[in-house]
Amino acid sequence: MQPLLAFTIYFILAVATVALMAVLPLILAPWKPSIKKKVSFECGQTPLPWREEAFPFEYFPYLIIYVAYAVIGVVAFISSMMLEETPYLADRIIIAFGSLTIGAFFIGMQLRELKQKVTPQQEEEQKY
Amino acid sequence: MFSQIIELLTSEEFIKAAIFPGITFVMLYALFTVWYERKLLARVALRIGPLHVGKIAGIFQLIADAVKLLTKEVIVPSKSYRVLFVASPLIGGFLPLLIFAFMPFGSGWVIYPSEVSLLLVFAVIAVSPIPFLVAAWASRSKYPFIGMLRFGFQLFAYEVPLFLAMIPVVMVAGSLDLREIVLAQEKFPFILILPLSFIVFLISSIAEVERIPFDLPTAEQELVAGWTTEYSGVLLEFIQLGTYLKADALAVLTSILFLGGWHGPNMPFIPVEIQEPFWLILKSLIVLSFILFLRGVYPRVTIDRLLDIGWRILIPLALLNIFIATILVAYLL
Repeated sequence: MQPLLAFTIYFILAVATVALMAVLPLILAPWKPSIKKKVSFECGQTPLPWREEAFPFEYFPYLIIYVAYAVIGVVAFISSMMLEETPYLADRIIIAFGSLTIGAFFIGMQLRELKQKVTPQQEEEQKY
Repeated sequence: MFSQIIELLTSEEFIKAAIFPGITFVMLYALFTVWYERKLLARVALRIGPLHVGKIAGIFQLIADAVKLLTKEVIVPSKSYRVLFVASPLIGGFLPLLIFAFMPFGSGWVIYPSEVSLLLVFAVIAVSPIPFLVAAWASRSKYPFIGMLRFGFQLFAYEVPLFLAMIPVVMVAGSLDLREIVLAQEKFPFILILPLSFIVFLISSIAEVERIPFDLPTAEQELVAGWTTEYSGVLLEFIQLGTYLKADALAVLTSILFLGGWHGPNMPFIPVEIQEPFWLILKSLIVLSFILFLRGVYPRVTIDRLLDIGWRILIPLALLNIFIATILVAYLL
């Protein structure tokens, strides 16, 4: 069996399936354009006009933490791969993973106090 | 020329790519999942579910639904970014199809065997939500915008533990090849020695496919339909197809990584080539049932709870599991 040929056929068939599904409505579906249909959804009401405004969405610190954890994930992956090739380094890798685990639990406990969360206490502060 | 075409159509490559485990099987599996979810949730709520279309258990209801969506007018909101609005669902529906190209359904049932098939699968899983994020942004509407932000936060919080949960499996199996990982589970499935990894992987998978209790990006009661609000017709069908395919793929992957893959009790008089896919599909259906069942019994979590579970609980647990797996591999196995 030639895997690349099988993959190529599968890829072509997948593209063809998607293309067929995309083309079918052009043949089968009605075409009665109207301005009302193209208006953004606002629960049946006239959409509110656009206005530039800061959007106070929370939890952005998590995005910064994500970068750190993504790097840790890659390091953990490489270290685990190393374990097979260099078994004599097992002790050091275990210490490294142990430290990472303790660190992650510590960070997890700290995150409970993350300031950006809306807590009842902060809501109380906002009132005054 | 004609004989060459016949030769290609009857070749092993074409049968695998077109029939099993190729495109026909994948599409039927996705269709089955939609029907199965409706029937299962109906039973949970003491209802009957689809009944009238198709003589056996309303089996053709999903064909009727698919035809309905295919014959609806494609509406593109005037304020949206037109090209991205249309193209993103198409790409989002196509990408999860690729996952199945690397997924082995038996020792010989794989379209593209690779030594790094686990990495390839994870790469496609990691990339597949991006078209949907773009789709939400291209809608340029309020509900999709809030849904997109929630979707982004959810992805960030759960892709890291999903990846970390795979590492112990790779360490114990000593390979990134999904076939090798299954072969390494011949004596016992990895769920027995890596239960923590299994739990982290399963919860992360549920969040990855936005299933209840982690369906905040499309929460109907709060955001109409979240990031899919502006979509209808065939574009909505592509979004649903992509989501269900990904759920199916993650159920199969869970079975491969933790439940022993295609290993199962030997059935006399049935060829191994049939037994192997049977056991794997059966296991993946059990995992899928669990994922779908949650929708019937759990309420949606709030976003702070969702992020807490991801960042504060699952990641430390995943790292703890890597630590345990390292000790297992270095000293015990």
